[in-house]
Amino acid sequence: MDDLRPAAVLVTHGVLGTELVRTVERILGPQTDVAVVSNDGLSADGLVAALEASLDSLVPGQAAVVFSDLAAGSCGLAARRAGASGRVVRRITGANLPMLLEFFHYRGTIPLDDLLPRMETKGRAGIVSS
Amino acid sequence: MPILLARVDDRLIHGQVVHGWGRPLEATLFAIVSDELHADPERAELFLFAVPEGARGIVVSVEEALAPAFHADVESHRSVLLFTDLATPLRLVERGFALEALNVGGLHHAEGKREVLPYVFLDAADREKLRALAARGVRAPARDPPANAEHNPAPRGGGT
Repeated sequence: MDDLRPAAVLVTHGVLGTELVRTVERILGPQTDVAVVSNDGLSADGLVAALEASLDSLVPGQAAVVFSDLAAGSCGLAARRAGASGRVVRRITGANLPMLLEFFHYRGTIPLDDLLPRMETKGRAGIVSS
Repeated sequence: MPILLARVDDRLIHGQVVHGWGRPLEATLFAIVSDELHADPERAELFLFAVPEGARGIVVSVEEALAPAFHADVESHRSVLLFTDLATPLRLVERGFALEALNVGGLHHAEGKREVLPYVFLDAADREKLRALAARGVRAPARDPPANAEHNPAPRGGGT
């Protein structure tokens, strides 16, 4: 089901998204169908517009997962406000490396509806205090 | 209690406001003053999503902000007032709302505006509003999180 592989769009503070993708690629190798939107210098409306432009630039009809860092922040808010550009768009907040690795490893091999809860589980499981 | 922070920030309630300012100030009320958001409850609800646990968030119109009930609400809490633009606090002050200081926390890039600081972009109309606020005794330093230094966003001779 590779032709149904969902894209990833990361909307984050500063360079966080870029560095997360860079780290994923160090671990899993180069990735395609991934975009990053930074909130640097953008108003709330500007960030929504940038995110929508990023979604618009994807292959028509391709599903996308929008990852944001802080749910209660400009990025999480933009993810909630952005239109879906006529495609399936799922959203997940609290983006971290375990969550992203799960997504990039399994996207295209299991349905998105099954992948989302796995990503959430992995993201939470990666938080351990001692 | 007086207003702890009045801030113009076109991102409204977001990480810098909640974590950077709200936590150290122990804010219990985040009040957005915006006619536009007040007229669009669905959009207002999205912005209020970011209000932290233990605090309350409201969106009021300019008229409501001028009413005694709002004043009483603000005075009975540890309040943070938020505006998306400079025009709104100026309208309030022109109509007698007591405001000593306005934190210019985020006026991001828009067409026709020039960068003053990485988080402050102004045009001539914005500068005029800052001058009008200053003329009415409102200090309006720019500062993003409280740990950073204050800047004058519109120094004399700073162009348009």
